[in-house]
Amino acid sequence: MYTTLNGRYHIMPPPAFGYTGVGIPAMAPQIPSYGLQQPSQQPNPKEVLTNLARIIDEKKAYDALQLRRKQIPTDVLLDYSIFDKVAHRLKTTFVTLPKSVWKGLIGSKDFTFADAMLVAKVPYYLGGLGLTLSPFIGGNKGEGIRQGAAVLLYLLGAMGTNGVINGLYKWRYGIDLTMMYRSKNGPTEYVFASSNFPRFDLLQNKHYRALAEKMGIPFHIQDPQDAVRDQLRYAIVTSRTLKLIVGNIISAIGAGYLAKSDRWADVPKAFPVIRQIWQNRGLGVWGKLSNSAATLGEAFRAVLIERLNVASAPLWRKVVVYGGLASILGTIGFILTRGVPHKRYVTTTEKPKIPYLNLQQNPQLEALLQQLTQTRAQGGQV
Amino acid sequence: MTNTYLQNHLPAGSRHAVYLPPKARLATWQEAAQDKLWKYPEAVKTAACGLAHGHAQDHALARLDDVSRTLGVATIAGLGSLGTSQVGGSLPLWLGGASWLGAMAITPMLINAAVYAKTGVNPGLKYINSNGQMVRLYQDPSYLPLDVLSQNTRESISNQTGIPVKDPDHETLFQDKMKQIAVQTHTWWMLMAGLATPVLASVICDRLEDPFKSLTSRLRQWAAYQKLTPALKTKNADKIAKAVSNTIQASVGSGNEVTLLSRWWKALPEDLVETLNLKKLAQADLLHPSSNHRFSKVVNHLTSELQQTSQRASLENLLFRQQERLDSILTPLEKLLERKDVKRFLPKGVYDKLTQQLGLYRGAAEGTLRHFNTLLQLPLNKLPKAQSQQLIRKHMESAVLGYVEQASRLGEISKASRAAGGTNGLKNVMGAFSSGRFGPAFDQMGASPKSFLLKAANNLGLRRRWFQRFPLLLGATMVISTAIYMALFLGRDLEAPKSGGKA
Repeated sequence: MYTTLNGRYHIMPPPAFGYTGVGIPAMAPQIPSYGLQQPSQQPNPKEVLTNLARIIDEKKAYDALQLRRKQIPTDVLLDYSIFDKVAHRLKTTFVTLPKSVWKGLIGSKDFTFADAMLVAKVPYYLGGLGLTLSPFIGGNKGEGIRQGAAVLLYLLGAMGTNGVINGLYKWRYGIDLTMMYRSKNGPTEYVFASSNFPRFDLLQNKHYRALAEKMGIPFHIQDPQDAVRDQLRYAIVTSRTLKLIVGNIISAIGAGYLAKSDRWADVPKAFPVIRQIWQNRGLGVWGKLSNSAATLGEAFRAVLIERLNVASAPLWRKVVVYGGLASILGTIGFILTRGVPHKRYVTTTEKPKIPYLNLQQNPQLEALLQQLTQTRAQGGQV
Repeated sequence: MTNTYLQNHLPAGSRHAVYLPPKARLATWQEAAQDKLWKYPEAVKTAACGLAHGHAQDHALARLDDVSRTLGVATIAGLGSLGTSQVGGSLPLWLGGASWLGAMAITPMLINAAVYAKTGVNPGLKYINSNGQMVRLYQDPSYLPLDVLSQNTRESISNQTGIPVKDPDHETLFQDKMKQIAVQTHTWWMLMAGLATPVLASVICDRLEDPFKSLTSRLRQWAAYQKLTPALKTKNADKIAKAVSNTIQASVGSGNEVTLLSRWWKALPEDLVETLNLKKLAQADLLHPSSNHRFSKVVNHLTSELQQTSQRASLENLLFRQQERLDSILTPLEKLLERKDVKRFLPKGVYDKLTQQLGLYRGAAEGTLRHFNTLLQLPLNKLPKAQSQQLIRKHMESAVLGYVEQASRLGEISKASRAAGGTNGLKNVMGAFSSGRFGPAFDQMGASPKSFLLKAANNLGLRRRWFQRFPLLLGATMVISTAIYMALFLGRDLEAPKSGGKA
C-alpha cells in the first residue's frame, strides 16, 4: 500500500511526477518514455541505465520538493483549552508586550500591526495606575482608595463582560469566539477578530458540522458551510458591538457609580483582620478560607448595599441602577434570542412552494409555456 | 476617470456608470477636525446597525471601540476630583471628564510637534482611502500609503532625515525610514499617554476651577433675577417669597461653594497673601506644628511690611476694593428687600428672616475688613519695631472683642450691633461670648486678623508642599525624557543587522 499526500490509498506506487496538483502542471503531460514505450524492441541497456539514473534523480528532486512543501510555514489552528488561553494572556502581557515596546522604541522593522495594537493597551494600564496613585501622593487616602476601586471595577467589568458574552455564544450557538491560530509569521491571533476577513479558511469540516448542529442549520441544504459562515459573520459583529457598548461604557458607568461612596475607605480595614485569621493556628485551611471570605464579604457588603439599595434614593440613582440591570439583562436576552438570526432554510429534498412557478399546479401557465416553445421552434418571434 | 477595461465588456447603455474608485488623498485639516466630532454620532450608528442587522466594517468597529473606551475612561476619570490638589474643592463630573478628553487630545499633539521639528514628518496626518474612510496615515506600520504625500513633502523629509534623493534605492529607504519614525512615535506616544493624560488633566482642572466657579455663580444669579420680575408681576405672596429668597440664596446662600459671596470669601485670603507678601515666609514656618511659633512669624513679617508706607497704601487699596465688591453683591439684595411691592407682599416672618440673614452676612464680612482696617490705623511708622510688634500682636488677637467693647462703652450700640449684623445678631454674639462659645461668636462678628491670616498662611504652606507640585515635576521629567529620546533615538538605525541577511 502506498499513500499520497492527499491521503488516498493506492496499490501502485505514485508516479514519479505525482498527480496533477503536486505543483508542476506543465510537466504532467510530458510522460517520460524511460526507453520502455515499445516493448517489441529490445531494451538498450545503456539507455535503460541512463533512464534509471534519471528516475533516481527525479525521485530525489520530488522528495526534496515535498520536504520543502512541508517546511513552508502556514497558519495553524490552535486547540487551546481555557488554561492555555489564560497562560497565553499572561504571556502576552508579561513577555510579548515588553518585547513589543522595546521593538517600538528602537523602530524595529519587525514591528507589526499586532504589536501596535498591543502597545496601544499600555495607556489604559498606566492611566489607571496614575489615577489611583495621584490622590495617594497628594495625601488624600480616601480618594485614592475610591479611584483605585473605580479603576479595578472597570477592568473587572470589561473582562467579565467579554467572558460572559463569549461564554453565552459558546453555550447557546457553539461559537467559540476566542478560537486562536498561530500565524505563519509567529504571533498568535484570534480567528474571528475581524468582521471583514474572518479566517474561515482555517475551519475544518468538524467545526462546520458541530456549529450547524448547534445552530439548527439542516445539513441537506444547498451550501451548509456557507450558511454557517453567514451566521458566524452576524455573530462576530453583534458580539463585538455588545462587548464594546457594555464592556466599555456601561461597565464604566457602573464602576464609577459603585466607587462613588466614602465607605470604600473602610474596606482595607478588613485586611489586618484577615491577617489575624491566617495567623490563628487553631483554624484549619478551610476555616481560614471561609473566615477570610466572610470578612471580605462583610467589608464589601456595606458598600454594595449602600450603592445598590435605591428604594428611597433620588431619581438619578434609580435610573443608574435599574438602567444598568436592564442593560445587562437585555444583553443576555439579546444574545440568547438574536445572537444569530432566525432563518428558514430550503432543504434539497423539499420542493420550493412557489405557486406560479409550479407548472403542474398551474395548467394555464403550462399551456402558455408550451405555446411559447412551439412558436420559438417554428422560428417565430416571441 | 472611467475604467476602460470594464467598459469594453459592458453594454453601451451602462458604460458611463462604471468608474474607478476614487484615489486616496490626504485629508484637509477641516475634514480632520470635522471627523473628530463626527466619530461620536457615527459610533452610535455603527452600534445600532451592528445590533440590528449584524453588519459592520472593521474600520467602523475600531472607531466605536475608540469612542467607547474614551468615553468610559473619561467617565471614570471625571468621577472624583482630578489631580493632587488637597486644598481645592472638587469639580463636577463632566468638567473632569472634559478636561481628561482635552488632555488625551493634547498629548499626541505635543509629541507630534517634536517629531515634526526634528524630521519634518507629521505623524498626525490623516488620509481618506478609496472607501471614503478617514485613517491615520501612519497608523499601520506594515501598510504606509506614502503615495498620498506630495513631492515637496517627500523631498523635505528626505533632506531632513538624510536620505539620499538620487539613490536608486530611494523609494525603499524612504519607506523604511517612515516606518521606523511612525513606529517610534506611536510607541513613545503610548508610553507617555498613560502618565501625561492624568497630569495634563489635573493641570487643566486646576486652571479651570476658578473661572468655572465664578461663571457658574454669575449664571445662577442671572437666572434667579430673570425669574424675579415675572414673580413680582403675579402679586402672589408665595411666588414672590420663593423668588426673592431664591435670588438671595443664589447670590449669598451659605453652605454653597458656587455663590458670589463664597467666591468673595475665598478670594480675600488669597489677595491678602499676595498683598502682604506672605509668600516670603519660609515653608517650615508656614507649616510649623506650634501655632505660637507660626503666629510670631506672621506678626514679625506683618510688622516689617506695615511699617512701609507703600505696603500700607496697597493694603488700604485692597480693603477698599474688597468693600466695593462686597457692596456690589449685597446692596442690590438689600435694595430688593426695601422695594415697596416686596415689603407689601412678603409675609412678615419671611421678610424679617431674610433681612436678618443679609445683615449677618454683611456684618461678618465687613467686620473682617474692619479688623484689618484697625491694623492700618495703628501709628506703626512712628514707633520702634519692638513696640510695633507688640501693638500688632495685641490688635490681631483682640480686635473683635475690643471693638465691640469699645463701641458699647462709648454708647455706640448701633455701630456694634451693625457690626454683629443687627440687634438679633448682637444678642446672639453676646450670648455666645457669655456662654464661652467663642467660635460662633467670631463667625458672626467676622474673622479676626489672627485666625484669618494664620489660616491663609497654612493653606499657602499646604499648597507649597512638594507633592502639590508633582504634576509639574512629572511633566518636566516627561518633557526632558521626550527631548532626549527625540534627539538620540528618533530616526536612528538602532537595530543590530541580522546575521544571514542580504550580503
